[in-house]
Amino acid sequence: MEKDIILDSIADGVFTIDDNWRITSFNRAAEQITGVLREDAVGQHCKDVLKADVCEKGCILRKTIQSGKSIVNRTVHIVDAAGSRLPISISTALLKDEQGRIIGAVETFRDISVEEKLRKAIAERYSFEDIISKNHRMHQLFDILPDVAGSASTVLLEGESGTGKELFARAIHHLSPRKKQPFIAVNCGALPDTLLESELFGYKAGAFTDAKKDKPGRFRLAERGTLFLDEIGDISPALQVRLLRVLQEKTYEPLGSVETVPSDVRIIAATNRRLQELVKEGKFREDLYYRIHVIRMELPPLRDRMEDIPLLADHFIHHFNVLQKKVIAGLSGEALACLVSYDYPGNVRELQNVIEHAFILCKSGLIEPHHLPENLCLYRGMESSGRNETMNMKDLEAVFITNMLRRHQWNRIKTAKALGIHKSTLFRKIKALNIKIPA
Amino acid sequence: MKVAVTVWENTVSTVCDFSSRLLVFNVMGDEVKNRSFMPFETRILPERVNQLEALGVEVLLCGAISRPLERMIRASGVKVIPCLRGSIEEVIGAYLDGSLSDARFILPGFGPGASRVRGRKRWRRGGASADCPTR
Repeated sequence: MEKDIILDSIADGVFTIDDNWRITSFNRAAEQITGVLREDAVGQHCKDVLKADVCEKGCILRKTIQSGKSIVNRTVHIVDAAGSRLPISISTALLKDEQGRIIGAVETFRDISVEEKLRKAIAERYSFEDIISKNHRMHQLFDILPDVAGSASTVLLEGESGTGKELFARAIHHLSPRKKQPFIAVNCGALPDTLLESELFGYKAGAFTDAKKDKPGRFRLAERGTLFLDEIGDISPALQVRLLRVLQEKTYEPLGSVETVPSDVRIIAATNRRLQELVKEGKFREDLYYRIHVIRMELPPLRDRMEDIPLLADHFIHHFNVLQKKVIAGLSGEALACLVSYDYPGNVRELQNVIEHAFILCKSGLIEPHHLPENLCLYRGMESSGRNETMNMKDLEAVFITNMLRRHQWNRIKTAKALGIHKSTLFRKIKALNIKIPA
Repeated sequence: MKVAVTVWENTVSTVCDFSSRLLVFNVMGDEVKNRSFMPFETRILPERVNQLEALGVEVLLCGAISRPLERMIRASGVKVIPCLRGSIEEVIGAYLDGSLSDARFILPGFGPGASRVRGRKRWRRGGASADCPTR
């Protein structure tokens, strides 16, 4: 009893096991982290309670008992009783009786979700495990991704802003044999041409007025790793020529240098524009296009994978709950209807911003339509009815028509044509379904 | 009907997301046929879903599972029966005779008697774990 009080006063999760791997004590923090109550945990096999990725492949407690040495602050992942994947930091130690015989072990652990999210955000080390989708087109991309990653070929990622091109590029890098080498990202659209050139290839001291010492370029920094060239459609014709040469000959010269430097860098390029059309317009070199276009992957916009919205919204709610220490339970049916009636020109990034906006206004419980940005909830039918159950046919029709109207810039004639109905039918439906058209 | 179980040694693997082997078999009436073990090693969740789809699995018996993975598997048309534990033979037997809701097959913290830990909601409205064998 006294032991329990002491253990419960500790902020870290603590449990002890006997020599049969059965849990003998389980403190309050352990309950909070795993979602399993003490009375459910005590007497159970520790792997059935902790549910960590190391339990079956490299049990840390087993290692401690076998080696007699404590393990300190090992990061592992668990799945808690609510179905969330959590990173935790684990430490272990032996338990011995008065004669020094091993009678079990103790494990202490703490939830490091916040640290992990901050670390990922700072280091931008999002991996494939961070990409979630149940969309068929996305799954086709996932299917080929390991093969794409395994090859040394240049990859072209096409997709609108916010579709996750950089996330994909990082995932390709982390799945590739180059994963232990650097991943360097450059936004070609964000830098003026001359600066971009020196950023990519570096310069020698004296190359220009302020070049006081040598500076390595991104190609050098990404040596033996991956260089991600975002917004490649924005680079100038002159730079296109230099880039073509690197891709063809695998060599380059830093600015002001007479020496040719060999380059072993895998290029992943991305653009939110159609490169093929830029080629037709004469704005992008055809030879460079074909050099880049070895493997092309087109990421679908969010409006073409609306089935992912509940999944992504749930993911972002969990993300912000961890970062902001809130307990938002999820989305109400009406809020979800609002989310799926919007067409997200800013794609997944915009959805993330929408959820972040809701977190500012929603203190606890479910996110309701009034917590969402105003322009999102144009269909107010369900909100006014105050119902909380799933959508009926009328709601679905309203959401669908709202979506179509939005896609056609609220032009009712064009929308009616796209829907294959007469414009007066559309006007009637808009009125009957209480769809709000922006002024 | 093609059924898969995530396995570790001769038991159901504790967490579907982390398991590295699958046992796949056909159920014909009361009989289990064509058993085969195969690797299930990718940690990439969509690849796990694709592998189940490619195998033509219709039902997945597994231990704990994260919400995103469970939703993705369900969306691909595979029925998920999560939160299971126990020896493979006993779990398959219980699946065939409809007794998987027996407490001995349910992981701690998931059974009908499992209380809630304050501050953490176990069940989510329309959430992924609605098909836990506690229903």
